[in-house]
Amino acid sequence: MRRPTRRYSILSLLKEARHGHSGWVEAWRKAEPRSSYDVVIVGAGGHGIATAYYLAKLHGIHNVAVLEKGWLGGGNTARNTGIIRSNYLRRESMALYGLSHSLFEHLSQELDFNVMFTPRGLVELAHTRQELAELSRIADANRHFGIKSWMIPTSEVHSLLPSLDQGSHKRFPLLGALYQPRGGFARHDAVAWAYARMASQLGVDIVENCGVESIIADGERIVGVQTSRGRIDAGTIMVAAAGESPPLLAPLGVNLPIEPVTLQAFVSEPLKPFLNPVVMSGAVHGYISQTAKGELVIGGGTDAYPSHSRRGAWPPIEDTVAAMLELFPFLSRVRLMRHWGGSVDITPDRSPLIGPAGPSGLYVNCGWGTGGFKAIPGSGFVTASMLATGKVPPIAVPFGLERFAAGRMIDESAASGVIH
Amino acid sequence: MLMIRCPVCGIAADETEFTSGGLYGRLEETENRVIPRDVVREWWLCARGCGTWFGMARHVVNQRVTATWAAGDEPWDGRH
Ligand SMILES: Cc1cc2nc3c(=O)[nH]c(=O)nc-3n(C[C@H](O)[C@H](O)[C@H](O)COP(=O)(O)OP(=O)(O)OC[C@H]3O[C@@H](n4cnc5c(N)ncnc54)[C@H](O)[C@@H]3O)c2cc1C
Ligand SMILES: [Zn+2]
Repeated sequence: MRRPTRRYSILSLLKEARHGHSGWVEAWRKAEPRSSYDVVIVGAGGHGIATAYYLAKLHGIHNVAVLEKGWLGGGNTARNTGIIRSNYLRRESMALYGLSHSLFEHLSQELDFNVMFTPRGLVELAHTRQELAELSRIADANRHFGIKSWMIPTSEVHSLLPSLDQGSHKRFPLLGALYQPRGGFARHDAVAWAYARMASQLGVDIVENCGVESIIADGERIVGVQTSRGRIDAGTIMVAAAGESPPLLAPLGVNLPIEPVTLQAFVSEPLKPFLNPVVMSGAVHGYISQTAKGELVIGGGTDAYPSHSRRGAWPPIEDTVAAMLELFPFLSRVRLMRHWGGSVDITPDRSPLIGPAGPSGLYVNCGWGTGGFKAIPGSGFVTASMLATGKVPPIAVPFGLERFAAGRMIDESAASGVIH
Repeated sequence: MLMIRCPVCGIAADETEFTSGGLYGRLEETENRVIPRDVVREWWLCARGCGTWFGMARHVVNQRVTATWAAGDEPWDGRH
């Protein structure tokens, strides 16, 4: 009997090529739920799965289950446009997203799985005086904090984006841009799969088709969850169920300030490479990147009202396409091949909720809204430490639920309208 | 796309002519509410029409608009 092949490398590929590729093992185990675990994580999106991985990898806690109502990474983690950047306005955000960005740099090596991190640069266009002022303010904040991101003049924008439409006929003439050279994107599904594969190899149970119906508390302590597949006991529980988190916590007297809103995205037919960096524009309300395959990945603003639906409204589609044509009119004949939506979990200040909530032993990691894909490695890293030690790490402290009552909002709303 | 009829001026148009204004009712009643996967009552503004805020019942998953009413003329008994 040959030993099964687990690692992905050129050598394992050659070895398996000689044996008709018969020795590969499944990337992760489809686990059956057991009756008790040390830690239960609700939701196998990027944030839940990454937390499980770091718990097992860095804190030696392997008796962990990630319970997923649907399938692995099938929520917003499967639906985003994969943009990664860390040039946020507030220092709390720069610390968290900056940590995440730096983990992305080596994520493929760490997880032995190509997550296709593509730091081709990210350009946020300013078309109005107000945008110029806002982006300059962000650039200043970034400089003070040590995030490599700065303002560039129009001449430099045009040399980075030779195909960007320009001229005095434009309704929104270009005034400058905020530029983050290491911004870019990664393959969203690969991030969920890569963390799941490594977590599973370290003993974590990923249980699909297992919806959590309620969280069970005994007095002041959390004791387990009731699921569609029976009761599971655990002394530590983290809810990472995006927009489904509020109804799970409400019966325990915890009100999460989260509103569900639909956000849509589009992919075009593949084109010859013409677009190197990611381009975002607040005024024309859209953003666009070109994948290694040549497809354009296009996004825009959210729907205009709360929704639990993954089928979006028509007006944002029209607006987003109009935005793309304002930037690149020559794309008018390009066909869109796919279109989809996700229900994102928006908070009042557009920053996530990370920290203990309600009875002791219960934690949340949700409220990532339109921009949480880029934060998956960093958030998993800090929340794993929080679950393992019971202490909230300094980077996560500002994101606790108490910030709303205390008036310590981490307001990222100016920068996150369409800039995911 | 939502098709909405303003109960005040009678204009019937799509959602782009109106603005969503959050859950219907007094602030203290709506502040800490979980938005259910069900029909919700909301405030909407006839933004491109008569400029009046009115009430609307909308299903948050299938997006059906089932009723609109003028404030003070709620289609149920009692206040809010
Ligand atoms: C169209 C679109 C574009 C986006 N673009 C970007 C982008 O470019 N860059 C970026 O950084 N972010 C982007 N985002 C946002 C990003 O996708 C999310 O912030 C991120 O994926 C959130 O991850 P999560 O793990 O918190 O949630 P999810 O991936 O949604 O995971 C939550 C999981 O919990 C499960 N669940 C729910 N209820 C239960 C229950 N009761 N029991 C068990 N399981 C349950 C769900 O099935 C789901 O799998 C975009 C989002 C959308 C929709
Ligand atoms: Zn009207």
